[in-house]
Amino acid sequence: MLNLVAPENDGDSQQQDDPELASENVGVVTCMGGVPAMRVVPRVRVVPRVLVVPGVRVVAGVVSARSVRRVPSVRCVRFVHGVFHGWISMILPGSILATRPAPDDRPGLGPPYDAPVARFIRDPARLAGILLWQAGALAAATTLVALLILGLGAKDASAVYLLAVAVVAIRHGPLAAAGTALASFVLYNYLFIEPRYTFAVASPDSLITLFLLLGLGILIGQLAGAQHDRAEEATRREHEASSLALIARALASARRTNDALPLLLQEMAGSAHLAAVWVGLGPTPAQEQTLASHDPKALGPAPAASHVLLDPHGSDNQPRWVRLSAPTPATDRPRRAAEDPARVLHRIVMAGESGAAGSVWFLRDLELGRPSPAETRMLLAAAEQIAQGIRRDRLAEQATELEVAIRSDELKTALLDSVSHDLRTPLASIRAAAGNLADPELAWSVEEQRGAARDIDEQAERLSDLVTALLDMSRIRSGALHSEPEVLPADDLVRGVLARTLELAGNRRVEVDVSGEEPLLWVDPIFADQVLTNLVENALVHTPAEAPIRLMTQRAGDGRARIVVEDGGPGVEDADVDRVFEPFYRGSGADHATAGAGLGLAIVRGMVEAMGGKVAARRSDLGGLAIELDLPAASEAGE
Amino acid sequence: MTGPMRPTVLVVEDDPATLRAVSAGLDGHGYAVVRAGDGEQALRAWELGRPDLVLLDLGLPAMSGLDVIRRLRRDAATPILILSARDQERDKVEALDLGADDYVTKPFGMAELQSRVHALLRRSAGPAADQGGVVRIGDLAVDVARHEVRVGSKPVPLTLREFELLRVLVTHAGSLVTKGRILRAVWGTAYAEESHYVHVYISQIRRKLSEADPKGTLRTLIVAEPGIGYRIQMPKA
Repeated sequence: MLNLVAPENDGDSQQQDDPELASENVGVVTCMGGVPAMRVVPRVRVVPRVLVVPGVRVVAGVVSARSVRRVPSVRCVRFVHGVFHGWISMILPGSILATRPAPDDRPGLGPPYDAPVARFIRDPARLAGILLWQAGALAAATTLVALLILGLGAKDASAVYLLAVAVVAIRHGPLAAAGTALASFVLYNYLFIEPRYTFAVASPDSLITLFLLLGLGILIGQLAGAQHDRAEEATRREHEASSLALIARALASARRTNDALPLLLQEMAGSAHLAAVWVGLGPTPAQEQTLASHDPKALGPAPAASHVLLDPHGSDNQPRWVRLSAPTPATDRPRRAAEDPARVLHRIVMAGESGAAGSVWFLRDLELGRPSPAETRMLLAAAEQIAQGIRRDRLAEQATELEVAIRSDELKTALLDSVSHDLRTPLASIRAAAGNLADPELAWSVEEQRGAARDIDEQAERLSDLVTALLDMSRIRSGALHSEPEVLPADDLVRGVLARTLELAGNRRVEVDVSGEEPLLWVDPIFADQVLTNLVENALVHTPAEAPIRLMTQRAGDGRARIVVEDGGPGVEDADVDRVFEPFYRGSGADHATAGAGLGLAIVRGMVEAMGGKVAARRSDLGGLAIELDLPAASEAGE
Repeated sequence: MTGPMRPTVLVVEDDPATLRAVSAGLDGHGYAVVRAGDGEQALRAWELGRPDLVLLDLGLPAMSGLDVIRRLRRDAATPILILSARDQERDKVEALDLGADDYVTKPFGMAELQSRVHALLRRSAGPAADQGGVVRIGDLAVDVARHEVRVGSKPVPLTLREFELLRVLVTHAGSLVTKGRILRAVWGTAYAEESHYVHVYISQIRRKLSEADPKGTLRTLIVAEPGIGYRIQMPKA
């Protein structure tokens, strides 16, 4: 166990206890040297005493002479929650570990967050596994050598140890293999080289054997270990590729990126060992809104103040993680519950059309260290995929909006054309007839003159009806239609309408079915009258003279009444049934002369809806169109 | 205009009231009127007895007015006068491009309609070239064969293109000729969109004519229809 502690008595340096800094600077010192034992340093509390340099927020830990002697080469020192995070490669007795000034209390990119943490330290079980394999392989080799030399009288069986080295190398890589080779060298010398059970070597032959064993062992270890490393790398890449493929597939098959996010975040968390991961949308972290999250431990979103940011281009285009300092001094910053010192907050920015579209955030356990290059690649690629998906969604939304706008524009143009045609046609015949009447060259009989006057009158009426319908329609459209409901017996309504349309009906069969209990409507009587008049006229005008008409009223329960107007005419195409209420809809077979403006049913719908009712169209069993009104009814008491 | 040689007018209009009024008005002015309520009826009437003029509503049910023009222009130069509602503005230009001669927009005055009908019928009777191959409109004389233009006795020095343009307008005197038709006839189909050429050449022709015409009798000879084209205004006879 390695101990890094400050010297007990160093009176000459200006030091003082600073509880705030001391607690802030509790961090990880990871030391990787050439000696394997050095790696057994999971976490070391360093700097119980700190050197405070005036004007500079930090500071340094001082390593004692004793510890430095045991740490000839310290490759990495970082304070995770402190201000200093950098590396030095050599510690001399009494050397100051860091004197980097605090970064002006401004957020900005700090030095690289690249401290390579030994995998062994992250994973003690792995280390134990290696030691076990080494011991097992050496024991097996030793047994076999003992059998060969002691049992069969072989002179030299050192090659057997090479087998053990190769096995360890294949299983655990070159470093573990080198250790095994060294151990083999020691064991073989001690156990089998004369004089035995000493480290002395009697004959030069044995010396050659021994050093051949060591040299070959290391060489084989390197070769086999390189193979092992490549295999491991291949496995990692395969995992990375399959993760990415899964993510890409999920995104491609989802209708919207949002639908794929839960699965995607889960996959990211699984393959990169994240405690929680979420996606925020917004130009800055403060403005971001969480779009989706995968947070199995319910850690909740951490404050975005201090985090580790991925710089996708880093150095030499290799992505690297960079610590982003908190914008406020540590002393002023209230400690937030979610700020968990055991986890590090990471951020990957998702690029938008201009600037950031949002971020992928994740929490990762501190002791796992920074994400490996493979994990980083995967996370970066996943973030890019999500960003692309979001951009694609936005484009699709814009395209849809544009399409709607264009279609509504086309509709408006069509409506305007239709209205202008409908207004001009009667005007044209009125002007033509009036022009004829005024023409001194025309020698017309009184009868001819009356005919022209009748034409003018009829066309003026047609024009006036159209103007009324257009005004009604515009009132409906602008929401200026106010229903003033009263109790109206359905029978009164039906009789009134029938009396006024009698002339149009001629000899037609008109069935009236009021067999059920008579409903009392709760409607605006003027609207209701116009609605039913429009429906009956519609049925009479647009069907052949022999086609029957049927009118039915009934209670529909729950304070509603139903009125149905059916005709035995040609009806409309099934596909068009829902379109009959659209303004300016005319049946495909409608001929110009008899068709109205196509506003009748649109006005019906507007007025029915203004009265709190509903209207629907369907095919009638008489063969033509059935229009069903669902209107509010007065309660039994009659209000 | 009464007598045995009454000109025949085919009126094609789907609105019965308008058809009635227009027919009655034309009939009263001495034309023999044939009525048609849609495109097919119009073509049948056309086959039965070639009318001297066709009054054609563009907004017809089923077969459109444009299709009727295409069919008629396959074998006759009979004047066609378009009746259009405002919503067929684009169709109007297309109809003129297809060879229709003029248009009136609904609602139109009967007096206006009568005068247009009258002008078109007069054009189809003349201003044909006389024996010497010269077309005369008022003081203007255009010798088509010799490529010469005179106002009174003064020659007007037109370039070849200017002459071609004037010839197109003169041979369609009374008709509204669209810029597209002028461009195709004078410059060729590849130039059909270069309408600014027409403006430039028309102004040059007007300038040269006015230099040869100190009395100003030809000042309103070439009349522009904004956005559509030009016509030679026939002097009132």
